[in-house]
Amino acid sequence: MKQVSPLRLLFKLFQGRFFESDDVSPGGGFQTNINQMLGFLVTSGFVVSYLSIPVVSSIVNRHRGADLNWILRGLQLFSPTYTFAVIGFAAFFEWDMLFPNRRDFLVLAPFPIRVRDLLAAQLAALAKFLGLLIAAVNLFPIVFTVLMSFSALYRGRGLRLVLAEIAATMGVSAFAFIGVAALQGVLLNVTSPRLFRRISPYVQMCGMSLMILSLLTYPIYSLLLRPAAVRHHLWLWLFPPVWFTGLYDLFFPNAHGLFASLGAYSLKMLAAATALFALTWSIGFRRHYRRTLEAEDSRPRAHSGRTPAFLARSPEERAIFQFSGKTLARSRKHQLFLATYLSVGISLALNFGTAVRAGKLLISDDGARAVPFLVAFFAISGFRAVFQFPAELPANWLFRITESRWAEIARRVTRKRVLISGLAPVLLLLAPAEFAVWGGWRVPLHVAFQLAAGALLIEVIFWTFDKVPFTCSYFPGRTNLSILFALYFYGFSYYSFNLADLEAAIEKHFWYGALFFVGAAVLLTLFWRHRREPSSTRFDAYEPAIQTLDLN
Amino acid sequence: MLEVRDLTKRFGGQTVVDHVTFSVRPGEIAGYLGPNGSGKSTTVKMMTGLLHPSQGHVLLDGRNIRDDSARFKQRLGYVPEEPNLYGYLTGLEYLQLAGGLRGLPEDRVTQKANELLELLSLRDARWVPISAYSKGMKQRVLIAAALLHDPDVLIFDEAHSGLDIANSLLFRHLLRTLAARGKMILYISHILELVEKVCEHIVVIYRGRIVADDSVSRLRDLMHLPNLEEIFTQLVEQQDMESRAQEIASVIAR
Repeated sequence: MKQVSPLRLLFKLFQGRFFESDDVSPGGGFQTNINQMLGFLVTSGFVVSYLSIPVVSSIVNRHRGADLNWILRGLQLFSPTYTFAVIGFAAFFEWDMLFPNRRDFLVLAPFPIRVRDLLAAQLAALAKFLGLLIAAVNLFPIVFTVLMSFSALYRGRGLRLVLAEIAATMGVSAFAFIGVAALQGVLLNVTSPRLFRRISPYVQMCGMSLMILSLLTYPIYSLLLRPAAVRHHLWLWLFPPVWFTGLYDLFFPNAHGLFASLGAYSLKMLAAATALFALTWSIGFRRHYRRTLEAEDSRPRAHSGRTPAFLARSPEERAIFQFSGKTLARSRKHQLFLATYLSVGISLALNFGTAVRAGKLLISDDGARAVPFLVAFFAISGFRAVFQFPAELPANWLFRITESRWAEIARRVTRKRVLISGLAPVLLLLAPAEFAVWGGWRVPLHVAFQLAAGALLIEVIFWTFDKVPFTCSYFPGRTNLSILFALYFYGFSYYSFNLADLEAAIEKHFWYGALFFVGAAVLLTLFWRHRREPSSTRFDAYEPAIQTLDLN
Repeated sequence: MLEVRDLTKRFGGQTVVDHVTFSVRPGEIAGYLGPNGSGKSTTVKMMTGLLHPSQGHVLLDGRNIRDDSARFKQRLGYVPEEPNLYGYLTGLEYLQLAGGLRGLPEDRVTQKANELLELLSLRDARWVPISAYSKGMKQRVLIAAALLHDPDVLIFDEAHSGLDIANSLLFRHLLRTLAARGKMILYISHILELVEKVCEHIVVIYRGRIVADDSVSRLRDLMHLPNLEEIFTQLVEQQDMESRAQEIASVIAR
């Protein structure tokens, strides 16, 4: 009888974990999840490449000489940036899956498996995951480069262009992934398992946010590339996609000195990351395996204070208010989703709030005014999205069993939670920037205006929200992404720029301000006092034939 | 009195619970028994309002629980079979949540929760996240959450599962004390010895239908059998366990 190799079984087990995360596709099997995730990445690559065609054609037709070369260099930077951000984001998103976790060790410990087999299987699974990601992300950008290589612009140099593109994107992909894995390896070696568990969500959040920022602020730094190269700015040596753009210069004869150096530096850094990864994982694996089994997170939580009466009057309101606060403070997946939303908002705010003039990054007077509205919009809509994700699906029976037609209570509490944990902190964090840009009497006026506008936006965005946050008994997974994207694009641009204009008008005309604040006060009073018919709270999108509460 | 009348649940074409009728009187502990997949948990889900029956009613003091489900839920305490709790909350926070959702004032909830946690030997762990609790500790949190609002109706689905010997004994005494105070208790368990000791009234369900509904002593007399284990075995047509154990031993030796 043929014996199945334990290594092969472990490889199958570990590779499945990358794609069987409920955060990706709840309830989906391995094949469904892998197809969905890779399909999404391939489609994104196609859309990005397709949209680049008219941009490149227009640039080639309008520019000549050194200008054209620098613009093309800026465009060349996009491909490694996109790849770096997507692969880096995926690696941080799968942070828990990179290294076998405590549950794996607990399940596998009783079996006669050698630790080196565990390590080999995990490395093989990581390699496959990385290979699939690289292929999915880079398929269409490389096809696009092949098409570009036939154009007159690259006559006689087409093959070099394709090879440079492959080297740059593959190199930056490997660096992003191995870099994240090496970072994890370092942390596993220098921290205790308990500390590692505590800092992991913050590392993940920062990493994912940085990846989004690095992609979405591309319009800013691509414009700064030429002046930065002239002045040998330090940031060129700190931002990996720029290093890998230098690989193009290694493939072409008339290379730019600085970028050729950056290209060589990218190869050294890739080798360094790989060496660090190999070293930290080989040292840390056995040690972490042993220590993880012994560690248990039984650290007592800080005592939470009483909720002020004006925030939650009845016991039910208080219970839901505190529950939503604790979930936000302790649930890693919700924090990650919220951080993603905020990062998109901050990236767009940086794009609109700044301008590159004469090779310098300056604050845009018109755009800066829209920044608080833009960030607030993404914070509020981020809360709307994360509230729909159940905290612990099997545990929400408690809400069902105690539910007493308090949909209105849940709605009231939800609004207050977003106001306190979403809008207020955003405006507070932006207040120093307001002082720096506007100063004087304008700051309190701006903050009051932004608060009132944000409170009205909360009413609009949460108008149909009749669920207790984090207790929905299904994962939101039926959203039409194209409609959602259009709604967001229209929503944030309309809200941010129109309100920024209104804010400017209020500064000049007292009566505009008086009218706005009176109108907002009346509307908010009406919304807050409005009591709907008591109804049952919604836990489901529809009443299913079988409710999977997992009670037995 | 808690009455289950003609309760039926169909999933697609399959009838999982078939015209089940029984009642639990105040001060009574009723044992609800049946093999795995016989329809016990589906009955309980319908009784707790988690699942709508295809047919039939659940009445509390003569009123259909669906007519005023909020009022019924205020009078219900429930311990599910699986300890599904919010792992990132501490034991005390979970009880504060459960009490708050039932409309109890915060101070009262905190005081009662602390006292219950003390009595259930969980005081030292009250600020520790539930994810770090053992199964028995989680079970005790669930028991405390079910009792916090002093309910009239208690449904315990394998509530003693995971409890250590001391807490298992405490739980048994607690059941009797609560019954003596007039609570209606439905107790689901697979440990027949325990059921025989604490329950005055036994309801046996098999393949979705009630096959016995009487006191243990009457069942013993009627069926001329010495104990609940043999009564149960006869009612649910259990196969010869000894020969099946032999078969298992043979399979693993191959």
